[in-house]
Amino acid sequence: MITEKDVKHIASLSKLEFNEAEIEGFVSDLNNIVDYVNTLAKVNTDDVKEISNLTPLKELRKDEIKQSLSQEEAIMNAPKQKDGGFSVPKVV
Amino acid sequence: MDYTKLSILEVSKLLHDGSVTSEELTKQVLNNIKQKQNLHALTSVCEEYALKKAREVDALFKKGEKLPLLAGVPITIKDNINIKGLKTTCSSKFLENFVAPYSATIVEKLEQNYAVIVGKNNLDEFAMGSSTENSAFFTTPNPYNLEYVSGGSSGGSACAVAANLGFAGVGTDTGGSVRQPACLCGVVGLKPTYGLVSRYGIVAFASSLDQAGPLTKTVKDSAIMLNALTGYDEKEETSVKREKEDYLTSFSGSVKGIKIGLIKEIGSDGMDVEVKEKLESVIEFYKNQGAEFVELSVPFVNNALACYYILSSAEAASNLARFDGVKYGVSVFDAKNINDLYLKNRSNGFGKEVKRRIMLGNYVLSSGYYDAYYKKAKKVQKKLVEQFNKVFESCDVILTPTSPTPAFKIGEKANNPLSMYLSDVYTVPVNIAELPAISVPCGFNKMGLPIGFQLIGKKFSEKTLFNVADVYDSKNGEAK
Repeated sequence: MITEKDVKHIASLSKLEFNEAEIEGFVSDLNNIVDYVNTLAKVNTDDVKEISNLTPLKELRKDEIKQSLSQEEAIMNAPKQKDGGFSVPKVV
Repeated sequence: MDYTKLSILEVSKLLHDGSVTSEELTKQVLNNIKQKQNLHALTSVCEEYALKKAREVDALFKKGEKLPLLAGVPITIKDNINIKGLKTTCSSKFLENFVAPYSATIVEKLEQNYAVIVGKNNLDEFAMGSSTENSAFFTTPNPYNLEYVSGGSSGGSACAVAANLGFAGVGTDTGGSVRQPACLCGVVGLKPTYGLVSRYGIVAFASSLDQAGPLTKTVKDSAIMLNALTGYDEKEETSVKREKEDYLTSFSGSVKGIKIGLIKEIGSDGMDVEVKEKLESVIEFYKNQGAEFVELSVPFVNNALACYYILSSAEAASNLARFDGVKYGVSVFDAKNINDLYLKNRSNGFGKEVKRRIMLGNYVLSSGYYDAYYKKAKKVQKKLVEQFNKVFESCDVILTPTSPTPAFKIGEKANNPLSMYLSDVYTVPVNIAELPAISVPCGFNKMGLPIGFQLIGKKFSEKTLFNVADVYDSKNGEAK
């Protein structure tokens, strides 16, 4: 059973904020969805030991310097820029 | 003459023999788009960009250059796929001003084939949904009845193809997002094998399940599009290195001796009566064409949807963590500190369903629940793959409906996420098992809404899928 407290905790992990009505909505939505996905608990998967990607990742590429986005292109969508970089509120 | 109702194969002949120019064709499509703005199939139209490309292709045709089948053909692209210099909004408020600094690999490939991109298609925000009602901008209605949904998340792409706003669309399919809207709008939709089409430059929803695929009027057009979209991409870690196939060589015109599997676990619950009837007539058709039918048991298909919502939400929560409004996106300017900036930007920028998936994803990944949900779902996924592998020893393709019901009314499922999720019940097992599948139109219900069936194949068996699908598509007049 997912409680209001759980929803607030997950919201803070998700960096999302909600009003009380939204939190109530999430309590009911998430409980419904989780009840549904709980059907998996009944599936016997004892013989599956390892979990991994179905398609194995390919070999790593060579560490070569290649052309990439220019600094200008990389920051062109940043809402706040300063001296060719991303600007954020003071962190330290 | 109105050329926009033709298939790619038909119009390509006219472009190649000079009966029509790409510019004229592009203008006709742009005109259709203007006439049918009430369909809200597109988030943006790139008229100048398209006309410039069309004139370039016409110049090449004039010089007598040998050009690919797609050359000069106007198409649309789902708005979660980057085209350099144009907006990629993902139908989200968060990205409403985002201009792509680079193009997706598949866009480069389409441009190498001289396709003319005329606009970007509406979608459920970040491709999360089955009706386009989650778009932050507008809902794309069904072209056959404006009170009904077009499906989703590639609803804009499906609607555009059905309404002749482009000869093909490119969508993305994470749990059915190409096939379900294709089915609901009466067009052909293909979800290729995972890894066949590069994901580079497509905004990620659930990276281990996402795959781009074409929406077209015919199965042969789907093969033409897939020929352009495939190919190894060193920029994409899961792109599969294999020789490029020519999908236009798929078509033998016969299904004699082909074994078609029917999954006995699919069919009892929730399937619409008319969908069931149409499916039976499709079975009858294939029997008459000489195909053999085998009944199969894949019990874990019943667990695929639960599995899907855990895995896709977990990946979505992780993928969307990068949306902080610092590097791109809409941002507030009165944040007290960095945490406040993140909270405000994300809470303002994301819509309800996206937040729901992020919340569910972070819940199943959070301490104490990871083993019970995420790890368990990965194990069930493996079991499902094993079952599919086993049944494909005794059949070539599997036949199912694409969607349990035809299009539903706008608003009907908007407040019940779980019932919305259930519209993907036949399509998600395919993504979970990394298989290819195609949705083919097979007529209409009494209301005049399209119905479709799905063929599922083994990994990399797109050619078999195309052939079996085409035999129905080109011989059965009813669906046209």
